[in-house]
Amino acid sequence: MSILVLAEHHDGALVGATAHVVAAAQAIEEEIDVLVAGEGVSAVADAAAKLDGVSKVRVADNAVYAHQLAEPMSALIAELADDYSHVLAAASTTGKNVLPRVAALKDVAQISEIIAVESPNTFKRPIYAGNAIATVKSDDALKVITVRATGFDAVAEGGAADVEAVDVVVDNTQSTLVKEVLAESDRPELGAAKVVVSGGRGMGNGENFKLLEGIADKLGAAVGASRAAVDAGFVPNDMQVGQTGKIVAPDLYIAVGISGAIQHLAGMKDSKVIVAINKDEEAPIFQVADYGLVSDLFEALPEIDSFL
Amino acid sequence: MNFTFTDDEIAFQDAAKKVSAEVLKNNAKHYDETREFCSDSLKALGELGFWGMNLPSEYDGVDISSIGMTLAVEEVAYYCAATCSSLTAHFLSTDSILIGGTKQQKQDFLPRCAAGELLGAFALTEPGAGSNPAEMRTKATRTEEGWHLTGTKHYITNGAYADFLVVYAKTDPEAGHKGISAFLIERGTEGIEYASPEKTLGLRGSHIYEISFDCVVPESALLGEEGAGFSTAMEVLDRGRVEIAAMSLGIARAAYDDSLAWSKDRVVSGKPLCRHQGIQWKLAEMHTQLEAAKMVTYKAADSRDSDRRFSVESAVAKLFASEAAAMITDNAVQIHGGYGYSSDLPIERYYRDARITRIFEGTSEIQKLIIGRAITS
Amino acid sequence: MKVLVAVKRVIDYNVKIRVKPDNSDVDLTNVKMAMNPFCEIAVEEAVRLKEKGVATEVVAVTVGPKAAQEQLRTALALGADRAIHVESDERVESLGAAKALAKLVEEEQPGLVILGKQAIDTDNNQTGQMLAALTGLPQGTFASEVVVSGDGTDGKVQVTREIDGGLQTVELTLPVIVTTDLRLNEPRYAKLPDIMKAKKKPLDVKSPADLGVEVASKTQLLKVEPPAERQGGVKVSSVDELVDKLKNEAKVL
Repeated sequence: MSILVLAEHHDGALVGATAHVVAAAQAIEEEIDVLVAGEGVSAVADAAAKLDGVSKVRVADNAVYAHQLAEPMSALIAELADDYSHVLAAASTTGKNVLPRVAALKDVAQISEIIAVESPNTFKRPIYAGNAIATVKSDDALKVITVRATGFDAVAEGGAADVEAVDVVVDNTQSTLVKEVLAESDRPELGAAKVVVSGGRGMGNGENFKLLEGIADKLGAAVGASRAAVDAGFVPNDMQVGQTGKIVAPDLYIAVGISGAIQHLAGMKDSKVIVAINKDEEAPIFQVADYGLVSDLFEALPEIDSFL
Repeated sequence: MNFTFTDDEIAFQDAAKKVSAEVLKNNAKHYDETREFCSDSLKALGELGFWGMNLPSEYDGVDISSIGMTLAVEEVAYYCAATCSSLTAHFLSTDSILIGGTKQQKQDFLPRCAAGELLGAFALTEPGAGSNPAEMRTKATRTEEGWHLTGTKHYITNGAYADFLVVYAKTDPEAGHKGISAFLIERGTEGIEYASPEKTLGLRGSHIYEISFDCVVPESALLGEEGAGFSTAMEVLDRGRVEIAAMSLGIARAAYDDSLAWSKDRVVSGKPLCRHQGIQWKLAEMHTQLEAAKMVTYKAADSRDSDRRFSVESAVAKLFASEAAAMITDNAVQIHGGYGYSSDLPIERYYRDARITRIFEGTSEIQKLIIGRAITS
Repeated sequence: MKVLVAVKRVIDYNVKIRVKPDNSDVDLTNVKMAMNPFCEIAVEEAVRLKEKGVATEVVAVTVGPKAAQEQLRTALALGADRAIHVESDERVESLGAAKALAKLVEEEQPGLVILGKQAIDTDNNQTGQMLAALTGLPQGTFASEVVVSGDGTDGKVQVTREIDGGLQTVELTLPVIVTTDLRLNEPRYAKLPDIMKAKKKPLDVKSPADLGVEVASKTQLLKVEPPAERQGGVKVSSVDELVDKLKNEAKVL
C-alpha cells in the first residue's frame, strides 16, 4: 500500500507546504503519490514531480476542480483513496476543508494536524491549543491525515517522478466560486516566511503597523499579529499568528508589543529564534524569547530600522 | 446541609463571570486610574438584567435565590469592585422600594430598574450620623405644596448619576426611630445640590457624593407609610450586608488567585515562591480565610431567603468576609513584594478597594454590636 | 427556514489545562466548563438570522454527557427555540458527532446547519465537513459572512470563507452546512431573565441508540503529555546589543 499526498497549489504554482507533507509521508515509510487537482495545473505537477521521495504524480486537470472546492475535491479523493493506506494533506485552509469530508465519505476518522509520526498508525498532534500533545492511534484501514507543515522539514528537490493523468471527473451542482480576494502583498506568505515580524495590542492602532512593515521589508519578512491586535481591529484576521490563526515556525520571529498569551505562543513557539520587544518586563512572551528587549516599542522600532 | 448550588445559581455565576471577565475587567484599571465613573460597565450589566437581580419576576426581576445573586455579585467584584459597589448601592435603593414602597411605587419604579433604565442611590448616611441613623438631621415637613425636605446626606454612592434617590429623613423629630420616613426623589428635582465626588482611597470608579436638599416633593414621594423609614432601612441593610460580604469575597478571591499564580511563576533563590514554606503558609492562611468567608456568606444568603430574621447571619458574614478580604489583600501585596505595591499589577487596587468593606453599610464595630447584642440578649 | 446549530461543552477558554500524572488525558476534574467559543459564534449567527426573519426556528443540538445540557440551556437563553441533547458519556470525536448530527438533520430537515469550525479541546476542525459529507450537502467552512439570498426563497446562500492569504466567497445550494470563523460576528451575552426563561423551553433527550448510530471514537488516545518547554533566553539592554546578537550569535540577520 502507498500514500496519497494532496498537493497544495495556488495561482498555478506549487505551495511550499507540500514538500513538508511529503516529508511527513516519508516518515511513514511507504510509496508516495502526489495528487494535483485543479484546472491548468501542469506546472504544478512538474514542480511536484521534482520533490524527493515522490514516486508518481497524478493529475486531475478539469474545470470542476478549479478553486479546489470541497465538494468535487472530496469526491475525487474518495474515489482514488481505495488504492492507498494513507491520504495526507497540509493542514492549510484547503486541506482542512477537504480532508474531513473525504474521511467521512470513507467512514473513517481523520487525524488532524500531526506534528510527528510514531509509526504508520500512530501519530502525535497538539490538542488544547498546543497545551498538550496527544499520541493517537488509528485502527482504520485508511488513515486520513492533515499535517502541520512546521512539524516536518521540507524534502529537497531533485526527483523526477512520473506524471500521469487521472480521468476521474465528478459532478458539482452544489457549489460555485463567486470570488476570491487575496491580500496583496510583496512580502512572503506568513506560513512560508523565513522571518516574521508580529505586532500585538501594544501597537496601539493599525496605522502603527507601518513601523513593522518598514522593518519587514528590509528583512524580507512577513508581518503577523496577535489575536488581541486582530480583535482590536488593527489588522485583518489573516495576519493572525496563533492557535486559531496561522502556525508559523520561521528562523526568526520578532514579537513586538505582544504579551504572549498562550494562544499566541502556540502559533509561534517552534520558531528557531524568538525576539520579544515589550515594555512590560513581566510579559509572558519573555519566557519563550531567546532575546528579550524591555523597551517602548515606539522608541525601539525606529532604532532597529536604522540599523538594518 | 447541602453544599451544592442549583443549576440556576451556577448559570447566574457563569453569566456574571463571562461579562465581568470580558467587559468589566478591561475597564477596571482605567476607572481606577482616572477616577472616571463606571458608567459603561454598569450599563453593560444593566442591559443584561443584573440591575434587577434582587427583584421578583412580578416586577420584571429574575426570581433568583440570594445565593445565586451572591455568586453573581462576587464575580462582578472579582473583576471590578467599583462597578460592584455601584451595583450593590443600586440594590439598596430598589430593596428600599421593594420593602417599604406602595404597590404603585413598586410598579412605577422597579420594572424600569430591572430593565437597566433607572439607576438608584440610597441616601441614609449624614455627616453627623453615620453609624447611628437615628441621629440624622435631615427632615421633611408636610406643607401645602407637599413635603419640604432640608438637610445634607453624604457618602452617597451613585449620587449625581442616580436617576432617583431614596432619601431617609425625619418626619417627626420627637419620635426617635419611629419618626423616620423614606422619600423617592427623582433627579432634576429643584433644590438638590450635589458636591463634587469625594476623592477616595479605593473604589475610584464608583463615586460617592455629598448631597444637600432644600426641596419640595409631592405627597406621592413618601415611600410607603410615614414613620416606617427606619425599619425599612434596617431590613435593607440586613440584605445589603450579604452583598457587601459577597463583594469582599470577590475582591479577596481575585487577590488570592493572583497570588497563587504569581507564587508558582515567580522564582526566588532558585525555586518558585510557593515552594518556600513562609509563602506556602501565607497562602494556606489566605485559602482558609477565603473558604470560611464563603461559608458564612452563603449561609447568610440562604438565611435571607427564609422567613426568619437574619440580622446576625448577615452581620457575621459582612464582618468576617470584609476582615478576611483585608487580610488576604494585604498578604497579596506582601507576596508580590514591590510588584504588589506598584500599580502595574491590580494587587494594590484590590488592597485599596477592600478597605471600605470594613466601613460602609455598618463598620466592623457596628457588626460586632449587632452580633453582641443578639447573642447576649 | 429552520436552522440547526450545534454546540459543544468544552473546558472554559480561560482555564490553564493540566495533564493527568498518568498521561492518560487532560485532567478535567473540577475544571470550569463552558460553550466552545466558535459554537457561541454559531449560536449568535443563528439567532441573528431569526431576528432578521430568515430563520423561522433555531434548534440547538449537542452530543455529549448529561452536563452538556448546561450549554444547551445557554443556547436557549441566547435565543434558540428548543434543544436536542444526544446524551453519551463516551469519548465522542468528530465522526461520531457528525453521524448523530446527520440523523438529526434527516429528522429535522433544516435549511441551514451552523457549527463552530473547531472545538478548543481536541482542535480537530472536522465535524462540519464530515456532517456535510454524510448528508451529501455542500459546505461553507470558516465563514466570516453568511448571506442567505432572497431570505432563503431562491435556495442559495453565499458564504465568505477565511482562507490562507485572504477571503473566498462561494455560492451554495440550500440546505447548507456552515462552520464559523472568529470574525463572523461578536456573540452577545445571555440576559439573566432569558436564562430563567430558557428553563421553560423544550429540551429533548435522545440516546445514540435512538438515532441508530454509534458515537464513541474509534481512534485510540494512547498518551497525553505536556508540550516541551521552551527555555527563556537573555534580556538585552539595547537595540544595539540586540542587533549585534542576532548578527553574530544567532546568525539570523
